[in-house]
Formats: sequence, structure tokens, C-alpha cells
Amino acid sequence: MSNPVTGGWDYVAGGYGATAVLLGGYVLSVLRRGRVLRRRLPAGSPASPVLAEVRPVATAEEGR
Amino acid sequence: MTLSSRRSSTSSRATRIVGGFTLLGVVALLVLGLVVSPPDPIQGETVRLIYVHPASATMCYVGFGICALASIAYLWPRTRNMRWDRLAGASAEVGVAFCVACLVSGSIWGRYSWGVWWTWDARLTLTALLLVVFLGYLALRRTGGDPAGRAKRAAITALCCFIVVPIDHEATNWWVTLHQKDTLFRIGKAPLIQGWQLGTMLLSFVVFALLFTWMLLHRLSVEHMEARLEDEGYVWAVAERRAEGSAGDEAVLPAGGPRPGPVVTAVPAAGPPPLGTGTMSRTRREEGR
Repeated sequence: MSNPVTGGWDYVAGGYGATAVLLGGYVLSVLRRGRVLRRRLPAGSPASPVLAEVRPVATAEEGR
Repeated sequence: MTLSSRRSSTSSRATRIVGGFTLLGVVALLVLGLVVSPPDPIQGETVRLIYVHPASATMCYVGFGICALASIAYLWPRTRNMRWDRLAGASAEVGVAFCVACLVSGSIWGRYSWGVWWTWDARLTLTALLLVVFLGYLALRRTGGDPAGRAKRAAITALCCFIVVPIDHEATNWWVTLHQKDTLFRIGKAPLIQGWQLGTMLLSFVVFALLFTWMLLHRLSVEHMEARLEDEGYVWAVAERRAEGSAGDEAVLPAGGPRPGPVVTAVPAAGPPPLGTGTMSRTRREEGR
């Protein structure tokens, strides 16, 4: 039941806050996954930091 | 640090535009919902939860609806494409996020209205069931094996899971429930709320739809990156095996990138990341994504 002091605002704060935390937390996790994946992406991705470290390698047959 | 690296890796022009409108909408919704909109004579200030809870529930339905439609598109031979599978997975996950938000905000509202955090009411139980079945769907998507077979299994499962959505929506009409019936869309009857309350509630649907779209675009971008990594990871894995097989043989290609041919590829200086097997990638390419 409603607290006479807060007049129900505590429930409102709880509902809005919980929604913000849940959806905000999910958004942050998606953005973080995106950043991690971008770092792991191989050549061909302009924004990939890995791109600069890529070096070509051939097999033994190609080397001979 | 370049501009592109400062931005989110999943951002695009579309996400920035939708995100901007979403931000404006959220601010407007908070002002209208918490300041302008009047309290209810019966529910008092807690009526303001109506600007969060129903919109969350609607976006949950929308997410699962998109998942079902994309699954149909994947199962239909003429439109079969892995992009549909990825859209289904992304929208289901965003839908699950909204479903949790709906259950939590509803529980808080229920504590005030009914005096309990939870009751086995038809609407509540079916919404909880909806969450569980779509969590199962997401778990199924994480199983290994052939991507085409996995996508087919997931699409069929999504359609089975979606059956719960219309039952959940109609639960308040079919059974006697504690949960109130529809507030806005009542056939042949006026909405139960008017004025600022009605306007703010309608705005909440628009704002949550924008938020859903923004989240879906980001999540879809993650799906595309995962798929690409899986594909190109195959090439990296082959390069690693061959490099192991040719230990001691130093072979350097001329500058300008790898040459065409089945034996030439590229690996990063730090070595390939731990990735999936090649079988999955080959099958995905054959799928014509």
C-alpha cells in the first residue's frame, strides 16, 4: 500500500528506475559486445584496430 | 584516436538519428509523465507507471512478433536467407529485455494496487511463460552445429513460442483476472483515460518504439559482426593450421595483401583469436547470406 509520506512516489521511482536500469544495462552490454567484436574483426573492417597488425603469411608450398 | 573509434562500434547513421529522436522523446516523456500529467483520484501518483509498463509490454510483443515474421521469412524457401535468422535472434533478445522490464515494473505496480509483488494471475503467469519460452529460444540459438540447421530449428521454435503472445494479450478478456483490461484500445468504447494522461500514454508508445528500434539496430549490428567473425575466423583457423604444418619454412608475400589462391591467407601478428570451426562458416556461405 501507499506510504502516506511518499504518496506513491516511491513506487513510481522504483518502476521508472528499474526499467531504466534493466534496459540501460542491456544497451550497455550490447554496445560492449559490439566493441569487443570490432576489435576481433580481421582485415576488411575499416574501424578494426587489428587491421594494422595483419601481416601476410604463405604456406610452405607458396614459400618455396 | 579517430572519430570512428570514439563512436560505438555498432553505431551507424541510422542509429545516431534514431538515438537522437529517442533521447528527445525520453526527456519529453519524463517531463510529461512525472510533472505535467495529473495524479489519478484512485491510484494517486502511481498511475504514472502507466507511461512505462504498457509500452514495455507492447514492445515485448513487437519484438517477438518481428522474430516470428523473420522466422517465417527464413523458413519460406524463396526468401530463405541468414539475414532473417539474425533479425529473428536480435528482435527476440530485445523483446526479452522489454519483457523483463514489463514484469518488474508490473510487479512494483501490483505491490501498490494488489498488495502483493506477484500472484498467479492468468496475464502475469502467461507473461512469465512468454519470457521463459523466449529465453529457451535464445538458448537454442546458442547451440552449435550446422548454422542452416540451427537456424531452421530456431525458426520453428520461434513460431511455437509466438503462440503464447496472442493468448497472453487476450488473457484479461478470456479469464477473470486481477490485471485490468485494456485501457486504450477497447472495441466500441472510449479509452479509460483522457487529456494529458491519454496524450502522455500515447507518447510513451512512440518513445518506446523508437527505443526498441534503436536497440534492435545496435543488436543487429552485433549479429552481423558475429557472423562475419565466424566466416573469416575459418580463414584464420586454416592459416593457423597451415602455419603449424610449415613450421620452419619462412614465407613472406610481397606487399599489397594476400595473392589469390587457395593456399594464401592472412593472420594477425598476435595470432588468430579463438574462433569456431570452419564447417559452420562454409555452410553459412553456401546458404547465400
